[in-house]
Amino acid sequence: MISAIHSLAITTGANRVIKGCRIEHVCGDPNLGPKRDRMYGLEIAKTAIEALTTDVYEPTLFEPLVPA
Amino acid sequence: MELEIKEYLVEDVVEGLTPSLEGTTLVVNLEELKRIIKEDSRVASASVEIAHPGTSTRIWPVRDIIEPRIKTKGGGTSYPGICGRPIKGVGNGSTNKLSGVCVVEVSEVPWHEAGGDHLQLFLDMSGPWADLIPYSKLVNICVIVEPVESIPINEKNRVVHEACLKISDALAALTVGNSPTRTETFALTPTDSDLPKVAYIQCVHSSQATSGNMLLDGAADTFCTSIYGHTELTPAIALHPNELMDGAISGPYRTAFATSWMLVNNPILQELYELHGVEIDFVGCIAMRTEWTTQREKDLISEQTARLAKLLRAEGVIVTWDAGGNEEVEVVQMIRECEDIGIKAVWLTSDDHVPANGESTLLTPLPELDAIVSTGCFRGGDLGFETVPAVDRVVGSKKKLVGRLRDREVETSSAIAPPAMFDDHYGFMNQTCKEF
Repeated sequence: MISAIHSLAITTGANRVIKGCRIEHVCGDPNLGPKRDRMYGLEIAKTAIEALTTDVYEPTLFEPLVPA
Repeated sequence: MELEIKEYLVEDVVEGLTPSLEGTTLVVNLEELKRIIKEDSRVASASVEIAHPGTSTRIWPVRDIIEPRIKTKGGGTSYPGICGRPIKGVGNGSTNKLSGVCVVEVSEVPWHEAGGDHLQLFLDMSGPWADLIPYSKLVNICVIVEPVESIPINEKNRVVHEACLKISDALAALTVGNSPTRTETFALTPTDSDLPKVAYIQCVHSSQATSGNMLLDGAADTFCTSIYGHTELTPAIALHPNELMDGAISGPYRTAFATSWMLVNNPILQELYELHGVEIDFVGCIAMRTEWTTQREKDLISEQTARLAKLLRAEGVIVTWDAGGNEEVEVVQMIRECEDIGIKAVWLTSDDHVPANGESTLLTPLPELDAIVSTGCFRGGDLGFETVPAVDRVVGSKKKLVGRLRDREVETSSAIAPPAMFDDHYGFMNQTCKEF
C-alpha cells in the first residue's frame, strides 16, 4: 500500500507500506517541477514493486528516495 | 483575566418600528436590518425573516448560527479576528449576550470551490430533526444573503458572514441599559494545589489543504472555523478559556455543531469552569489544528500539542475534535503523546458508524485510547429516521439537491433525508452529557 499517512497503514496492519508524499499527491510532488516529480513518482512505483518481492513478517515500511 | 457574562433572555421576537428589548421580548425592524446588510455594495440580495420554535418551518441552506453578543467593558469585540474584527481586549471585562434567540446565516455560498464539502445543514423548527438540534428551540432570526458573483470565493464567504455579524451586533446592542436575567463571572482563580491540573484541548479542522484555494488563487486562507480570524493550518496555541468564551474560536463549518453559537456555549468549557477549584484545577486551553496532510506534519502537531499541555503543567486533558477521516491520526497520536509523557487523556468523539460485531469504529484504535466518551452517531443516516416530514414554510432556497451525487432537485419543503452528518462534537445533544 502506498500511503501518505503511513502510520495509519501500519497501525491497521497493511503488510507492505510504501511512504507516499502528501494526501493531495501521494505518488509525486508537483513542487519538484515536472522532471523531478516524474523521477520521484517512478521511484515510488519501483519501491512498491520491490516491496512486493520482499518477504515481510509484520507491517513493514518501505522508503522511496526523494530526488535531490 | 476576569470575564463577566450577562445573559439577557429572549422569549419572543416581534416586529416593530423601533428596535428594543422590552423585558423578554425583542422588537426588531426587519427592513432596518436589511438596510444595514445592504450598506455593503458586495451584497446582491438580502432579507431577514423570523422563524419560531414549534412551527412547521425549514431553513435551508444554513451555514452558521450566531449568538448575539457585545462587549461592554474591557474593550474588545465579541467574535474577534473573524472578518477583520479587532482582536484586542478579549476575555476580560464584561460581555452581554442574548439567549433564547440566534442569528441564522442562510446563503448558497459554498465554503470553497474544490467540491466535496457541500453545504448540507438545514434546520427544522419542529419534528425529529428539530428535537436533536439546540438552535431549533431558539427564536431564529434568519439572515438570507447572497453576494455579487464577481468577487472571489473567500470574499463571498466573508461578505455573507460579516452581514450576519452586523445583525448579531445590532441585536446585541439592544441589551445595553437593560437588566440582565443572569450574570456569571469567569476567572481562573488560584486553587488548592492538590487538585489535579486539567487542560482542554480543542481540535479544530482547517480546510486549507483541501479547499483548493492554494491551487486556484495561491491563497492559504479559506473559510471555516477560525482562530482569531485565521483558518490556516497553524501550530497549536494556548488560550485562556475566557478568550474562547468571547468567541476567539468562531465561524462555521459543515456540521450542525461546528457553529459560532456552539463554540461560545461549549459545554466542556462550562463544565470545566464549574469544576474549577472544586474537583480540578483548570489550567487552560489549547487549540490544535487538524487535517495536516503529511505524516511529518501530523507527527509534529501531535507531539507539539502534547508538549504544550505539559508546559501548562496539565496532569489530565479533555480532548474534543470537530471532524472525521484522516484527521483522526493527529488527534489520536496527540492523545498517545500525552499519555506517554504522563498526562491522562479523555477523548470525546462520535461514532463513525454503527459498529457491527463489537468491532471498533475508530481508524486507529491505539491502546492509549483507554478513556473515550461517545457523543452519539456521526451519520445522519443512523439517527433512526430516514426522512424529515414535509413543512408548510421554507426560509431560504425553495429547491434542494439530494442524492449521493446531488443530481436530483426536490422541493425543500418536501419530506427529505436529514443532513448526512450529525456530529455532536462537544456532547451538547440532549440525549448525552449536557441537557439543554
